[in-house]
Amino acid sequence: MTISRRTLLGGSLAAAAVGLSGCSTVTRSTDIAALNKPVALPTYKRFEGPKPDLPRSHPLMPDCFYRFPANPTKVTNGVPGDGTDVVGTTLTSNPIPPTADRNPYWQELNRRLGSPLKLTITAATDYPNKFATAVAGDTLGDLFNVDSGFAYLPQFLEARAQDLTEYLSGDAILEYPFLANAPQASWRGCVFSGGIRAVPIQRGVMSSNTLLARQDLLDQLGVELDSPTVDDLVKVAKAVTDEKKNRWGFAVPPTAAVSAMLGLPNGWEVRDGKLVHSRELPEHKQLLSITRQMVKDGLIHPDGVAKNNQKVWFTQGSAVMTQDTYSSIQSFYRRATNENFSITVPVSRAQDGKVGRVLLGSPNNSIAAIRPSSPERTKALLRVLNWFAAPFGTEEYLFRKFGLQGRHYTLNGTDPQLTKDGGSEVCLGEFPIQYLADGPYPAYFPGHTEAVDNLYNHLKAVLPTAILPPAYGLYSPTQSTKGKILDTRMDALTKDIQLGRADLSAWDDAVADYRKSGADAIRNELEQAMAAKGEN
Amino acid sequence: MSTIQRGIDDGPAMSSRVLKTVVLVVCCAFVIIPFIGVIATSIASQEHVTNSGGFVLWPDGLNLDAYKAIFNGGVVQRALLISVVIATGGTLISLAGSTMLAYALSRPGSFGQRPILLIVLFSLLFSPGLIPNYLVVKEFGLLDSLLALILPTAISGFNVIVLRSFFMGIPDSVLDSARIDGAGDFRIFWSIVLPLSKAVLAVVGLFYAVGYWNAFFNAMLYINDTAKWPLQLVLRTYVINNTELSSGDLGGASADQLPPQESIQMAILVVSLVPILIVYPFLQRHFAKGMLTGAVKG
Repeated sequence: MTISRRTLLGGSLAAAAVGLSGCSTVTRSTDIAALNKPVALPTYKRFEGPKPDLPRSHPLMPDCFYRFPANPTKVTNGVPGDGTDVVGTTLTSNPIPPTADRNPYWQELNRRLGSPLKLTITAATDYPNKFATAVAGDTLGDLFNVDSGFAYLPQFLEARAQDLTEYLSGDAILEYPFLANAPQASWRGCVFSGGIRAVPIQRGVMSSNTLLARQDLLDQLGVELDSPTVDDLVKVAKAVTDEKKNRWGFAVPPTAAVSAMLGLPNGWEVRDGKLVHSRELPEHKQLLSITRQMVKDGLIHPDGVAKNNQKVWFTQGSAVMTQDTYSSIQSFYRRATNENFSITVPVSRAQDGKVGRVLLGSPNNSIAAIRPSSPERTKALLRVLNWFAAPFGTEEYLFRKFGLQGRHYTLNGTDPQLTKDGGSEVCLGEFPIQYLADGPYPAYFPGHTEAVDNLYNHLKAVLPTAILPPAYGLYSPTQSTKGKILDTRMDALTKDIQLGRADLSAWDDAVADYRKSGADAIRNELEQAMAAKGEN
Repeated sequence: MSTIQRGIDDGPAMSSRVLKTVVLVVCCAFVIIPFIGVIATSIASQEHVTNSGGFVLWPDGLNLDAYKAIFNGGVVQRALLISVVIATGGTLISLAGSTMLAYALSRPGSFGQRPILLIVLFSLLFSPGLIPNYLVVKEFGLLDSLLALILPTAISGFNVIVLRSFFMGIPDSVLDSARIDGAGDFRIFWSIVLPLSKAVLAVVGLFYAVGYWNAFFNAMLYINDTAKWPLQLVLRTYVINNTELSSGDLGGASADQLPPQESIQMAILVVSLVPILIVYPFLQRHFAKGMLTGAVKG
């Protein structure tokens, strides 16, 4: 059975209709001000755990560790659960772990939680469909990761998620110290219709896209990348590309780096008091022109535009540079079979030599919600989520990400290394509870201190000019119902232009249509939302 | 006239034959080369896969590590078994239900024949959609049951129409004589109609079997217990989503001994294709007859 975009959207809308049927109290979808009504965000209180190995030079700088702290301490007492089953729906981008009855890690997790955890786990790409049907069938469970693309999200959360405002707003959150360890930028994405209706799966800057390069290959080829401008980047790509040796400059079009070099926003940005989208700006056509030329010159892997298999190409050395998140660095090192494998994160520069202005991605991977429950049950579930968010360096974190010493990991110095059982049972250190709640994402690449230094220096250079996406945490009904279709249409044209199947001039007509078909309405609604939140 | 006569005797002109041959060879190449690539990648060495950018067109040797890894008692082996159970059980249930329904619909005067036929035809035009399907399965208590992968798709309107058309071609006189000999409806169906319908049963059975074998979407929706996932869903998770099989998924092979990920993915692909490819030759002789009979009689 093939699932088309229309089927998917239809499923989401139908699920929303079924899920919201009978709920007469949810906010009307046209009431932008009510949907974006602000609330006192939870107080941010940084958890003073193990001291990072490098000083935090900027509030957005992640904690940088060379090694896992020795003798991690236990920071919770007793068990967070109330003894009854905790049913959850979540996703994974890794292999699905063995079921609880065949998984000693899961069994130990249940013991430590004090409540048996029953999870429905779905592969990330299938999650929107699974989520839509689970909403309609009311089978999401007590805790569930929220599909951000779900139609009428605020109304759905009003109807089907516990309002957590009284438990988390202001200083109330201090009862859950690891949830209080999430910055307010992350909580902005959890507020809908004047209530805190979810908890963030925070990633900070680590989920932002960046240019990554194979330093070992650059050294081998005697090519220097340093801090490139657009011209430098093209020169390096040309120097390393050798089709006969099955090697290309880029795995995918390097849009994040070129955007930073051109000063383009990542989506919406406020300019002169008005919201503008990157696609409307003349620099965006420049971005398309540059990446189109890169494809034409054969600098990008032949399948790089059409197919996303960049992790394999980059790891195998078929591509010397790629574009991925900061957090992906760890997974690249884990995949690498070459012991010289080394990644560098270059600082992009504008043509005038200044550091390229980086517009960061969403501060959260996603959000997770709780089913409407009694106050006692809600508190128990929040304690469980708080336990899931215990930060790096604690004993709870060590167990959560690496399991039990001996079976799931061994120590290399103080760094835990997953065993084959650990890889399978702990899901490569990313057991799917990490999509229900998680602690701050550290810069920690075990065994690769030079990679930590490299990322630290990169972030130290770019963070002073980095800007959080202004539309994050604002709700636009048009974006919710039409956004996906509009984005897909523009992304398809982007690919066509890059592959030379469409002329660059087609972009102007497409932008005009994009604005008419919904982007102008989205802009208008986001501006109303900003006004409702008192942000302009 | 003599020229025309000679043309007919000699068959098509040489240029026409060459053109047809070239077109057919090109078409075959388009089909066969990717398939060869899949097999070649599944048996290629780590070095060759890496040097070829993840896809090998001709292997440098025979390396069966990927097949040994997936048949090492891990998730793929279990999923394969589940797929066989679903495809076999589902095909039997579907054939039983569809033949009985089609036979009843082929006999004028059966109870509720016209309205039921209209309902079957209606199902060809409109599908119930994702959410209603899910709600029905849930209300029947079939979530997490393998029956959820069989019952919702057990009767295909198209196959029922094909079967009905075939059954309508069986002369009434044959059935009447059986009735005179004292056979009841079920006996006539079992001893007369089904033996006369082997061709169409083979074709429809193959349609159902391929359908069950290839289905992954319903499993993704209805099966929360990952231990019950069929092969195609496992295949989708590891190939389309490009997630890596861990050593535990492969029955505990040592991580440093794992074959290249691409080889494992392609080996799973081959394993998922082979059973259906094996079935085709056995049903081939029935295929043309079964399809044509259903197609030309209304």
